[in-house]
Amino acid sequence: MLLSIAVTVCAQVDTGRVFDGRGGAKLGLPSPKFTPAPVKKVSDASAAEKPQTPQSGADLYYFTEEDAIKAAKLFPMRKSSINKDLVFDADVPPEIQQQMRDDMAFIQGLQGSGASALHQQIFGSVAGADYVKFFNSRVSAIGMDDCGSAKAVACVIPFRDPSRMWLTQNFIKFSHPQVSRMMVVFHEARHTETRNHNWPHATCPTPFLDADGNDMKSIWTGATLAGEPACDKTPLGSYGSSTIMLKNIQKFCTNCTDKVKMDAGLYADDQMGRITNPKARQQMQDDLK
Amino acid sequence: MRRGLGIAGVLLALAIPGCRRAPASSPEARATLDVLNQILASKNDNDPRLDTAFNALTPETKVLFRRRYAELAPERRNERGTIVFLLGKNLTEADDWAFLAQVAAEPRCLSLADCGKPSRGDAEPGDAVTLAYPALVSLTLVGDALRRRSNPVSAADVWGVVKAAQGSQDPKVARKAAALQAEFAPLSGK
Repeated sequence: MLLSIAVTVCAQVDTGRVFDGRGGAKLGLPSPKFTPAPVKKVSDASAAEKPQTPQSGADLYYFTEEDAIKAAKLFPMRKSSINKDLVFDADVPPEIQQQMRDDMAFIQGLQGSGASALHQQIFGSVAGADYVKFFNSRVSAIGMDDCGSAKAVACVIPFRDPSRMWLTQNFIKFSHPQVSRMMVVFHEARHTETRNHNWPHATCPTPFLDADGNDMKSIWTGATLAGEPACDKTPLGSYGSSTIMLKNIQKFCTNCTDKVKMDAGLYADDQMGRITNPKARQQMQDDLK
Repeated sequence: MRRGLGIAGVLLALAIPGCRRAPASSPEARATLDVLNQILASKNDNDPRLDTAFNALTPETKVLFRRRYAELAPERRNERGTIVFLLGKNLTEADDWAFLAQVAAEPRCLSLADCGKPSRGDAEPGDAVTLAYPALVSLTLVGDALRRRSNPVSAADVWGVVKAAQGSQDPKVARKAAALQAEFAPLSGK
């Protein structure tokens, strides 16, 4: 009996030690309620021409330059305009809208002491106003989609609407550093540029080796990335531009915490590995000297 | 009967201390933990308090932070990495380095939805970094300490972290450890 008392007492003590999410630490776990994206009405003509969405097996939505050209014929070029605020579809859950607004507020607050030439060319200064202008002049609205992958956070689907960005529930479900979420969002924003054929990814070379001479592989499937559309050959594409953005934040941001700067460096170094053209890589390295 | 009670009494005496709560922490330590929890809940990595409020953690506060780390689900990659980052700014004792080594040696997180199970589908840019994030933060801090040599760095402590990371199943972690080894081992004779 004494033993059972001991076990009971112990269990109660342990219960008190279990973290219950209170004490100020709301961890932002995903809402179990999922609001599906509404069925999109497309005209018969556009539906007939709508290409299938290929999956690369190693990266997100995959579209070719030809797909982007077809999409540009289906959708008129977006008139030059800048949204004053983020525009969300009605089905975007409030908590996702709030996270996006919080993250853009973080970006909007950034200040820098300089910027590299490539950064000036793509974004302007390391300054919140320039980043927000970049985003709001490209992304006309934000909706919900699964982006074709259980792991996706965001995507642009040019043949559905080249200026629209889609977010998934993973935007708040997965625990990424803030700068990483913004890297993905700005990567996708670059994919909205119809005039640049939406900057389709380049095919990774064969063989595709890391610095140690090992095959670059998808950490998900173990499949080699060689031959997959998961690379960039220019500093100006989606991988290149988001790498430049992060490297500049790491180097020039004057009001970033040490954590943000560390994170920017970690993710930028990783993205640099997707720039496969030696001249493009060299250009980016020289740009940051 | 009496003998049975005696045995049970001994078991009770053994059991209670084993499941006892940690000693009550000081108001100061709890207040610091509260600030950490506020920041984690806000998901704001640019909260200026990250640079100002955690620069002189007491051993007692570090214990609370390590406990908080263990309470978080492995999938809370950013929250866990944030705690590693803050503890890594306060490397003053062997326990601090042992914690970094423990983080570096953690089992590989296989997916952001469930670290214990790989999931199908295509990855986002940067996912590989997030999956390895706490360990990468740990190794980044080790690299910083080696470069600055501003902390009371013990060679055994530092290389303990690097060695732990070299055995990681996560290729990013193992590769970063190998890079540190290549950069600093020739300088230290390791």
